[in-house]
Amino acid sequence: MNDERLVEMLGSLSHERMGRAADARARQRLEGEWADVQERRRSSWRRVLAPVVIAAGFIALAGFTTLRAPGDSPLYGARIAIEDAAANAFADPQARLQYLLGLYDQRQAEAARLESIGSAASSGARRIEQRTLATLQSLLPNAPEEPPAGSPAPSAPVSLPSVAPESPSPTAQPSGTPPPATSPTTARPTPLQTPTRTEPPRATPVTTPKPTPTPIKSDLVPIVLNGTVVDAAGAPAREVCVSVVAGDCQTRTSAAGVYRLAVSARLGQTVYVYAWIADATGKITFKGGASAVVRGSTVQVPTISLHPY
Amino acid sequence: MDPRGPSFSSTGRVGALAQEADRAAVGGGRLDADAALVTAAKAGDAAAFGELYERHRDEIYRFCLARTGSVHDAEDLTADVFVKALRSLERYEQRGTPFIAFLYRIARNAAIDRARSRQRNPSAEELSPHMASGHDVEHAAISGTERATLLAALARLKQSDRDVIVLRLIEGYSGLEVAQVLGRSEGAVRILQHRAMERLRKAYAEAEADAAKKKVRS
Repeated sequence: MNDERLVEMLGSLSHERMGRAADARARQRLEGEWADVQERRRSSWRRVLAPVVIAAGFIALAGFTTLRAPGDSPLYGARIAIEDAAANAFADPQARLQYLLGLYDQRQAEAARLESIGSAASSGARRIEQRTLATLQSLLPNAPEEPPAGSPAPSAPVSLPSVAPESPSPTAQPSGTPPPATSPTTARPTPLQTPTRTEPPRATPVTTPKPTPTPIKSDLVPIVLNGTVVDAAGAPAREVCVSVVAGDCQTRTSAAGVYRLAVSARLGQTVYVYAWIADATGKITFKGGASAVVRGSTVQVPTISLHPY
Repeated sequence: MDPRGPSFSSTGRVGALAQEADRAAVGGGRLDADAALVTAAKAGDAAAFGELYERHRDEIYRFCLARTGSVHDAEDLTADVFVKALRSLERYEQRGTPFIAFLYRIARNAAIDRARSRQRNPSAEELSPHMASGHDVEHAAISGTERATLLAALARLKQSDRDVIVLRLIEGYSGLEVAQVLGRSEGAVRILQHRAMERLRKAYAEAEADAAKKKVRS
């Protein structure tokens, strides 16, 4: 048997075909198998998805129940922990403060509700409220009692604080005439009688009005300042820095010129709000300001009108 | 067939995919021509899988025939190969492995499993009764005895020898295509083919001698 004949014989095998009966049997088998495979695929998805859906539903239900747990529920502690942990999710400090303020209001209301019904859990709720307050106070910028010197002063229609000090400054003129600072060079130095240098006498203040008392930390409450900034033409000014501390841009106005600023202040305190626009070098180009008295947790500040600086 | 079951008959969409596969095959990408059909089958198109079966049934059948030497075994094995391909279609990745190579791999493994379970080798006598199963006009170019002896000789070869002979000389794949299917280099395929032909010649002579002895005995 030579190679040519072998190749010829092998080539003839290429015309072999599967018999029709066998083909029909194979097709029937395949069709049955196809249905099984599709069914298995569907049921495998169901097998995989069912526990996932059940677990997700259970987690959602547990989460929903926990996050709505009242103060006298055993889940209230878990709710507080979740809510406190969620505060860390806020990248924007102002958004975080707003969130914490909301939590504080809720917890305050819950503590009040529990107290009103005489629940034993009210003390715990009150502790949680106080802890929230402490957290807020540590985060909130304190609204200064007076506008600091050198800061962009509030412009009209700003009501400037009426607590401008009437007391003399520490550098007030002394009432007496100071003696010569040095002794004459011709004088014989007498160690006991003539000191070489004499301090000028201290000025004696005529009146000593008591300065505004320093706010006690515990008096501070978290408040939200709401207001609007407009330009000289009265149009809303956007992207304007707003702060209770001049130079420290705490928040910026929205496209409608609106701002919302969370700070810590005392009830009855006058807070000053500064607004300014700085150029790329940091130089203030427009400024304005307004003041308002704190009467509650939300303070509506008069509209601030910007003017060239 | 269950009327509610899947239909393996070709649909208009699958017809278009088949034409695309034909164009790809003509363009030189014979091994990659099934990609669109495979994708459709994986997406749940029964007709696409039916088209794949239609395209490769006879090729796999011939491969199985050369492996088993028996028409009946080859037919059963071919059905097994496609059932296994269907079951593992989800795991089949088209990257780098043509679908026909995937089928050949299944066929090789299925043939080995079958041979293990039966623990027997076919003889020329066993093959002869099934000769008429799928022959055609050109089949008549060799006698029934020659064909049976050739199949017996092929069945005696090592798997690698048989694979290269079937793919190169029966199916007519190029050296490069065979290399791709077998996962070898083109040069290695050329050497393997040369040696396989020598061994086939010897195996054919042995099968002829065996057949003659048995004929004398009977």
